[in-house]
Amino acid sequence: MKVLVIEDEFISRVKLQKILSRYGECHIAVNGEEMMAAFVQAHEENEPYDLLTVDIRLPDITGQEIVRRIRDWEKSHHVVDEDKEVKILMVTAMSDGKNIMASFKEGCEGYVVKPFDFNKIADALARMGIHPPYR
Amino acid sequence: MIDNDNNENLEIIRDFVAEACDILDALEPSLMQLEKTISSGTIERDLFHEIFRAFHSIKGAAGFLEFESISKLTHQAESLLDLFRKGKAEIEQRHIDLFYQATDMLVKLIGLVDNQLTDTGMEVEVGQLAGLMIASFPSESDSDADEPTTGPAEDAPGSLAGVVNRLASINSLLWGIERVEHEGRRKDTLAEARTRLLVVRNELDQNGLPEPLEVAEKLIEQLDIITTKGGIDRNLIGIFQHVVDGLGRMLEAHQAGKPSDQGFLLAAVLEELAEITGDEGLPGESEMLLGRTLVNLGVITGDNLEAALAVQEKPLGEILLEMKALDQDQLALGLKIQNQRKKAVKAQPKSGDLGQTIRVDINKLELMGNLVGELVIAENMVTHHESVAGEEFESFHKAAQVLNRISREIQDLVMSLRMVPVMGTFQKLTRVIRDVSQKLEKKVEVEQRGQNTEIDKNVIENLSSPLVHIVRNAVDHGLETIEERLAAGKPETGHVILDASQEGGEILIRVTDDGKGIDKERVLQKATEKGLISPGQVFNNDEDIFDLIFQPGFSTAAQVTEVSGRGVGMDVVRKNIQDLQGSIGISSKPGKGSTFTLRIPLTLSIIEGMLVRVGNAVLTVPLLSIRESFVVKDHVITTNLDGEETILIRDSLLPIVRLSEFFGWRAEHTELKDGILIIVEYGRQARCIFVDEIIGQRQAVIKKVSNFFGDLRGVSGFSILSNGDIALVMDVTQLVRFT
Repeated sequence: MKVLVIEDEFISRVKLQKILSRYGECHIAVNGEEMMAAFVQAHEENEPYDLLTVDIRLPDITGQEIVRRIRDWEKSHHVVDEDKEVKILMVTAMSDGKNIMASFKEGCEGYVVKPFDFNKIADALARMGIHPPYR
Repeated sequence: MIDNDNNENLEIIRDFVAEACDILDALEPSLMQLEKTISSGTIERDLFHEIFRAFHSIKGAAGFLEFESISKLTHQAESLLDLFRKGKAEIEQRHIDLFYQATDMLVKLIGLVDNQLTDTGMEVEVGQLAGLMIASFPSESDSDADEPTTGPAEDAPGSLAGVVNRLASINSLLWGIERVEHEGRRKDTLAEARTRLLVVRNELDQNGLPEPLEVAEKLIEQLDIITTKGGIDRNLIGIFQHVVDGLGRMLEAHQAGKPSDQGFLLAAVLEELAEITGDEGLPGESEMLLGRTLVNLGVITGDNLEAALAVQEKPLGEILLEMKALDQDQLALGLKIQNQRKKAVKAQPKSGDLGQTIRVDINKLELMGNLVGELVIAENMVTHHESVAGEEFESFHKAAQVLNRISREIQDLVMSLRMVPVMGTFQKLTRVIRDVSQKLEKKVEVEQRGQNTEIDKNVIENLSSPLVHIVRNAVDHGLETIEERLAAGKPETGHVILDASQEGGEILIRVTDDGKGIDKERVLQKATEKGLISPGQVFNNDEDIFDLIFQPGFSTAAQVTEVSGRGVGMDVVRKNIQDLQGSIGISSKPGKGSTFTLRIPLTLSIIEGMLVRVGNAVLTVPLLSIRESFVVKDHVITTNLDGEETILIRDSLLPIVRLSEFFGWRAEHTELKDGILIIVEYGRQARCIFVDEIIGQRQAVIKKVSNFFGDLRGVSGFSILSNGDIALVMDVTQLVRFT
């Protein structure tokens, strides 16, 4: 499993990386631009990401905008047909209804409000059908 | 965890409800479009994406808020749609019917959330519908189950997709089984799961896949043990489901030509499972063991399991039986109406290209409307203040004009904020027609015209139920059955037109059908039977006869039908519409059809009025009702024996109504030539009212008449004048009716 963490804040990023490493290979991006580049590149190398965690407040873009771009890209590149759509988990401090609903409307699968710990993330991922690999 | 008492979560839930309602509203037209495209055979993939996205959004948010029923239903809808949008299966009419049902149920569930903050209380219905959806998975046909010889050699990967779906359906079946109290039902469900597993096993055997085959066989073995043990442990089922899931993933990996380590993993999990089921120890022990195992496996945590297990109160065996009958029915009906909907849907704009909007509390709009009303009054008070009256202050008048213009603009704007297009209501009506015609086995084509016409939101909400009633009547009583239509030389498909337009300050809504029309004789006969009219009573025109339909306790249907009910509705329909200061009329031609025409004033609160004086009293006459005003010169006026006066104007005789007499006031003038005559009209009828003087034209903010005044004849409300006095607002409708 390949995970891309999009998070500009250092502590959260490290924590997420630590938690998600238990699920698979974990990459990071700190803004929308980096994220999009990494995402597209992964597709070009034919090893697309299985999971994205997205912060809503980022320096150059909102999390919802990221989700929209990802979904648009997937649609225009026929990723949907091949069943390789990435799962998206929002991890953010935004806990208001508008942000939450807007995220789901754009097509994310899960939502975690900061602060988070392993269990919180694992629960959300389980609800999305993602389980840590069997050891 | 979501704590629903928390204020912040309350806000989230409210947002969820609003958002979900929006999504569901937009979903219906998409489904209609889908229905239309499958009947014409040109399915747009984008449409599937759109509908999938709608269910997906609701599912995600519902999952976050832990609304299990909503999650479950949207999950099934999504899985089904996923097959279609990826081109793995062909959509059929029965699926569309299921999506409609799911949408309806979601509306109900969202309603529950709105009222009680949870979506509990409909688990049985949700379970049933989810079961129907699972059972409708295209690869789930019965012929598959009977003949395990499916999976033609040239299309092996394709049939594997079927196996994967079947596995998913097994897991859905087992959801919440441990909570089923009735043991017989539980066994039924397990037996059903076993049957499906057997089919899977055979298919795997057919495809020559030894490793998955082994897993499937072990699963059957374990399922048998679980069944014989009787009591069902949730964790046990959880592991079982995990293995079923794993088998699905394994097959998917195989299909994609990728190596998979699932086989090894599953073998390990299965071993654990066998150890537990083989263990005859206390259930408590087995649970402990399981807990540890799960942690070791790292696959599922207790919380996850709880979240994953949805409630299914009813076993699928029963549902399936029910479903079979339902399915055939639906299919037959579905095929019948398939072709009719093309036109109805054609007119509908594609959803999704809406402009930017924000959501505002309706109470705020309400308040704003009231404030604008007050502003208009205040403005009148200033510009018509007694200290400036009659004076020629040029700059003051200029300033007053600017103020007037701006306040009017604000007023228009506030009004337009509350306006919504009738499109949504028409959509609902189209849906009603679809359902009713399906039930009655009639073919109906719906045409929508002027669906962008905008009406005040309050008005449209109150219009919805009368319109539903009218539309139902049109399909039920108006349109003939297919046989009758053919016998009458008409096309077998009936036609219903929903038409909205704006005429002056009124909105006209017409519902037209091309059915058999209203039988005058029958109406008269019925009315006589019911004692509504005396036998042999003469009516001047057809409209008056049709009007009898709106009398309480009238019904023209020879049989009371399920659809239109017992004829208790039409009088209520009229009352609803009159409450909106509107009117309803019928025109009908035998054999050609009928038209119901609704006239609704654009807005209820502020009107342009003509201020008139009768003696000391001041009255506001709605400007829209006024046709002309004049002074009597050499007009022909006749008085009949009862002392009723009529005036001849351009070859038509109009009754003169002296307002002083109508309201019982003392008038300044008694001679017609001293005062002023105003012709007012309502519908097709006109009256000539006699007043002492016209004061001028004003905007009037109507204040409702308080209930304790009782029924004030001829008065629809009050308005406040610039000097603080009160003027009655004349109700032309009643004036016409009572004179």
